[in-house]
Amino acid sequence: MAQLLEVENLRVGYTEGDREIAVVEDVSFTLAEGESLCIVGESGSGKSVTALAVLGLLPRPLEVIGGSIRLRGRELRGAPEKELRAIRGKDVAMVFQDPMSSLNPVRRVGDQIGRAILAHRPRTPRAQVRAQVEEILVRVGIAEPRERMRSYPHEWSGGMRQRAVIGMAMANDPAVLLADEPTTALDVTVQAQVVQVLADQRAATGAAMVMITHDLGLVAQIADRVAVMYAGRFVETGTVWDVFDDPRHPYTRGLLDSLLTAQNLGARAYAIPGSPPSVHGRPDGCPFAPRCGSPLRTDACAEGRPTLELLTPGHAAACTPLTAMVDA
Amino acid sequence: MTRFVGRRLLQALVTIFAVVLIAFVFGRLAGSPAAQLLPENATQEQRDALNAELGFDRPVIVQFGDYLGGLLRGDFQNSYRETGTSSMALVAERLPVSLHLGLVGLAFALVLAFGAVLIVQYTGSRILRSTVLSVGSVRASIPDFFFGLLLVLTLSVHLGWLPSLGNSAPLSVLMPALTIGTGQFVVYTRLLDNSMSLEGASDYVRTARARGEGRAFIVFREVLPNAILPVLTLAGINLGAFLGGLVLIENVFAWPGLGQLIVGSVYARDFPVVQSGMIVVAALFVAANLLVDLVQGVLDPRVRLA
Repeated sequence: MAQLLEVENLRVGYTEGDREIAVVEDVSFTLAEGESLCIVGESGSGKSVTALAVLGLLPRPLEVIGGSIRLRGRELRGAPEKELRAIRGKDVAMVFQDPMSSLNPVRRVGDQIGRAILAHRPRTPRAQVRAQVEEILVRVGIAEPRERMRSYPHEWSGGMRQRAVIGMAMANDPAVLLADEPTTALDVTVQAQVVQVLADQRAATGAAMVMITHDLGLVAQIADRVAVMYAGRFVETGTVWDVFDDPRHPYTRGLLDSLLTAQNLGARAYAIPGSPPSVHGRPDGCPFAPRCGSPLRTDACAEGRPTLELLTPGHAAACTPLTAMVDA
Repeated sequence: MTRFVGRRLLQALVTIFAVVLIAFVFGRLAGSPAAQLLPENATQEQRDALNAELGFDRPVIVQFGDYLGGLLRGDFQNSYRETGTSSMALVAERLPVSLHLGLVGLAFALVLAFGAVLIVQYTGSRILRSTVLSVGSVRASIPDFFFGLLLVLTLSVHLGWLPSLGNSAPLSVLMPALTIGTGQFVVYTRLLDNSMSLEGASDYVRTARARGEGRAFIVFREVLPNAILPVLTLAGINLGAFLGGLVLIENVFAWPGLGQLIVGSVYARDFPVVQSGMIVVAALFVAANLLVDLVQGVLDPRVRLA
C-alpha cells in the first residue's frame, strides 16, 4: 500500500550555545491511508513535539534538526511556509489537548469553524460557509447548530468545544488527522462521547490518524498500531496485539503494569521507580537503563543507544539485551 | 445592562462629589481670596465686607452646604475675578480647546503605537522591536515640558515651520499634540507589544495556524482583538495622569485650555472656577472609564455576562 505519511529519523531540538539539544531523536513511522497509529508515553517524552513537527508548528526555539517528513512522497521538512500553510488544515489537520484554550475567546464558534473552510477556499460565499458549518456541527453532534454557531466559546462546555475543534479539523476532509491527547482535559463521562465523534468522523472520511495519548484503554480501542515513546525515542512499536499482549520493552511492561484494572483494584498501584531523564541529562546508553528493573539488564545497557530492532515481523523494540537475544 | 450603567452612574456621582469636596476644602484652607481681589491698600473693613459678600465669614460646612445646594439647582457660582460670569461658563468656553489638544495628542500616541507594534508583530523583527522601544524610552525619559521647549526652539524659532505659541493657526495644535503623543507612545507600545506577544503564544493561535491561517490573519484578526483588552483598561486609568500632563503642556505652549484656566484660578483663589474645572475633569475621567468598560463589553463577549 502506498504510504501516506512517512517520518524518517526525525530529530527535533534546539541549540544552546554551540550545543545541540535533542528533544526527539530518531523517530520513524509510516502511516497508510485510513490507518491509525497511537503514540503513548508519559508527559515530556516528545509525543506532542513529534506531531507539531509534522505540521511545521514547533514553538520556538524548537526546530527539526534532522530526518525527513514526507506527505505522499513530498518532503515537508524545510518546505516554504506558504506550502505548509496550504497543507495545514487541508491535508493534515490537528486536534489539540485543551478545548478550553484552543478556541479564540472573542470570536464566535461558528466563525472559527468557518475559517477552516475560508482559509483554504477564500472565495466561498458566506451563505455556503454558514451552511457547511451548520452541517459540520450536526455531524459532531451539536444540537440546534444554527443558534449555537453564534455562541462564543465560553458559552460552550468543554465537550462541546472539543466537538467544535474536531469539526474544524475535519472541515476539509483531511487525509491525516493528528490528535494530541484530545480527551485528556475532558470529564471522564464526556471522553467516551468525544472519542466516538472522532471515530465517526474518521469512519466517514477515511482519514488516517496519529493519536497521542496516555490513556492506554483508548489505545486498545482505536489503534491499529502503537508506538511507545520514552525520552524522545520510540522504544517499542507494533500492532495493538503485539504491544499490549506481548510487551517486550521493560518500559512498556512498566507502563502496562501501572494500569489500574479490575484485577488489581485494591492492591497498591504499580509505579515505575525514578523519573525520566531531562533533555539535558539523557544517559549515553539506553535512556531507560537507570530505571530499568528487568532481569535481562546487563552492563551493556549503559553503553551505546539501543535502536529499534525487529523482534518478530512488525514488532520492534529498542532494548540491547532483547536485540542480543534475537541475534543469537 | 441597565443595572450596570446605573451602578456606574452612582459611582460617578460619588467620585465627583469627592473631588468637589477636596477642591472646596483645600481651597478654603488656602485662605480667603480678598487679598488677591482687592487692591493692596484696601482697608480691613473693605476686606471684611468682601468676605461677607462671598460668604467667607460663615463656617466652612455651611458654605459647602450652600454650594452643594446651588449645584443641585444648576448654579455653579460666579467667578470672583470675572464678576457676573458663571464659573461653569468660563470652564465650558475652555473645555473644547483642551479636548481638541488632548484628543489629537492621544490620537498621535495611539496611531504611532499601534502602527509600530503591528509592524513589529507582523514582521516578527526583533531588531525593529528593540529600535522602536529604545526610541520610545529615550523620548519618555525627556520630561514633556522640556521636549516641548525643544520642539518650539527647533521647529518654530529656528526653522520657522510651525507657529510657536497659543492657538492662533490650525497647525498650532501640532507641536503640543506631538509632545503628548510621543510622550505616551512608549507606554502604549510596550503594553500592546507585550500583550500581543503573550496572546501570540496561546493555544488558539496554534489552532488557527493548524487550520492553515496566514500571518496577517493571525496578527490582525486572532491576536489583536484579544491583546487590545488590557491596553484599553490602561488607557482609561492613564487618562487621569494624561489630563494632569495636559495642564503642563498647555502652560508650555500657552495653549488657552482648561489647564491654564485652572492653574490661573488657583493662583487667584478664584474658587468657583477651580471647583467647576475639577467637576468637569472628574466627569471626563469617569465618562472615559465608563466608555472603556462599554467598549470592553463590545470587544470581549466574556465581559458582557459579568
